[in-house]
Amino acid sequence: MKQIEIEIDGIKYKTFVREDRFRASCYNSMNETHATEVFPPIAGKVIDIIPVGTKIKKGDVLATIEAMKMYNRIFSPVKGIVKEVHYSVGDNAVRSTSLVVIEKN
Amino acid sequence: MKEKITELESRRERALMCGGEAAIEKRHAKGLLTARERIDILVDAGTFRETDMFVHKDGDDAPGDGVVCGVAKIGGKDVCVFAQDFTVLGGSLGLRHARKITKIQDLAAKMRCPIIGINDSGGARIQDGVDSLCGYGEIFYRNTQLSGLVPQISVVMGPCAGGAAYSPALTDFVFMVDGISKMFLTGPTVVETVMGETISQEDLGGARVHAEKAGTAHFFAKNEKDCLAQVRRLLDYLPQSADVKPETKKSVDSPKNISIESILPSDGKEPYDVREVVKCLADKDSFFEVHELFAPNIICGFVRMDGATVGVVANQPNYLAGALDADAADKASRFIRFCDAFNIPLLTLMDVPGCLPGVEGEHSGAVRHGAKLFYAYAEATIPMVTVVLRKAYGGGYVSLGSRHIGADYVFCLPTAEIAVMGPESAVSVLYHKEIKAIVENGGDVEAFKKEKAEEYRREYANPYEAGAKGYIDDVVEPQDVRGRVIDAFASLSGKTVDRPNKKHGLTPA
Repeated sequence: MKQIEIEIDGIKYKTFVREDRFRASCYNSMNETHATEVFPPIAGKVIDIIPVGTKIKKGDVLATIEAMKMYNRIFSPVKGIVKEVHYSVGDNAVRSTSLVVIEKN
Repeated sequence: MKEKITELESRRERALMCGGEAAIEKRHAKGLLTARERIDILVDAGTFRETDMFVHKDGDDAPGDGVVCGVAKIGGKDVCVFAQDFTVLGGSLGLRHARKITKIQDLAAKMRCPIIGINDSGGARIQDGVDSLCGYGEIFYRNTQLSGLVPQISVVMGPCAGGAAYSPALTDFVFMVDGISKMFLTGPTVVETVMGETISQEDLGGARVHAEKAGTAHFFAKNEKDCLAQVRRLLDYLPQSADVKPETKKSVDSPKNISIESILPSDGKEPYDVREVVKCLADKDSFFEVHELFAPNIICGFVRMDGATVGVVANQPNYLAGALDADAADKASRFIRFCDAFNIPLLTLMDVPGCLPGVEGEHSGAVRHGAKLFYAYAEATIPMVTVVLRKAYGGGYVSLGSRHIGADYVFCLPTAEIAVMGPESAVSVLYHKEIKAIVENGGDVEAFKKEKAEEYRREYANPYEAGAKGYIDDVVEPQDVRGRVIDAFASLSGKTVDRPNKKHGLTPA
């Protein structure tokens, strides 16, 4: 558990969140501004995935997931730099854990 | 007589001014068209004949009672039209307003012609009390009676909230315009009060939301003119009513610069855009997609083949591997039932790896949604031709226009794989014991699985097992598919199916 402080309408509150939820919720709130978290649209085996630090354009391939007898390409919705990668080749990707986090630029 | 004519002229002039100059200017300032301008853009120039111009609310200055109705021609063919007029009492629906709409609906039934409704209304006219509820009910009743008799098209060009939203949903095709259309049962204020959720009108029920997520809108338009042009284009493919077939236009050849062979990747696991295959088979520039933004794992649309309208359903390997899910089944089954109701032959392009597995899908009713697809094909009596491009696995194969479910012809490309399940899954089931033994002895289980999967692929993942059993009609080279499909539809032009007489079936819901 991690303690965090949040501010709603000028009033500060302290609360606890689970570590694994913390990262996701942080990025979700950052969505509009700097970071985009890309989730797999389909669960399956990671065939390839982009390395951390890669500069990418909108529409570039971030990962390939083998599922339903097919290679499914996951494209970047934004332009930016890959900040985090959450799977390695051979892993089973699940819908609830994002593939990568992209810092927009 | 002259006096009487002068009076008529002045009354007519008053009606044509709708809510008055100020109200019209206010609309134009917002970049919106008026009801009359919309009708003028929609129909063939000079063909609109207005009905019920002099209807208005008792003792009230409400020209046309907030709705413009009439008959006109689009592409030279009769249509009935109504357009709600936001400049008059906010286009609110009172009893006389509603009765103008029901009158034109009844006329469409008698004329056996399409009806187009342009929705732009603040909702029920509160002052009219339950009269407006009566009005809505009478419109919905007719929407249902007209369903499958004449094409019904709804254009949402403004608010369409509360009960009013159900009328478009009861019709065949819904058009919405980015930034202008708003459709929801309860607006953002109520959502916030009751649920504590803050959301804008656009995010709750704008055109994009309905086109991408909710699936209510079949067509998404950038602006009003683009929207009305799309309505005209759609009508070009449709028959006037269920009594007749769509008009056949001049035959145009398919484009010469693309071929199925160059589109299908040699590796069966590589995706591709099935729209390109549709374009190879259709008359040049004739592909008109329906529900383009919703459930992109299946593609629906109208094309012309040898000049005749054909409905196309095709799996899209580029999205979710082209697997079936609830939305895809909803989208395709509705489209197939439209084609069946209006005598439009159906071409299915199959490349289906199966149904998408998952708890979320199962719990949200994947079974009952998927069942709609079987029902739609099995119920249809139109000519149906299926081409298996690549994958045809399991229930997906059966449901998507297999011979077993009612297709008249099934053609396969040499790349077709018709089987109960994919090689990898089949090996795990068939060689369950052997695999277990290899694991226990510390052997190379991956090599074994790979070898057996290859064996299975050679043996079963092809069109010839189904061919040996007569489940398909022929295996065809890619360049011959268009010709074979056109010939097949020609041979089926007089297709007759006798079904036992019954009141109606029960579509899965």
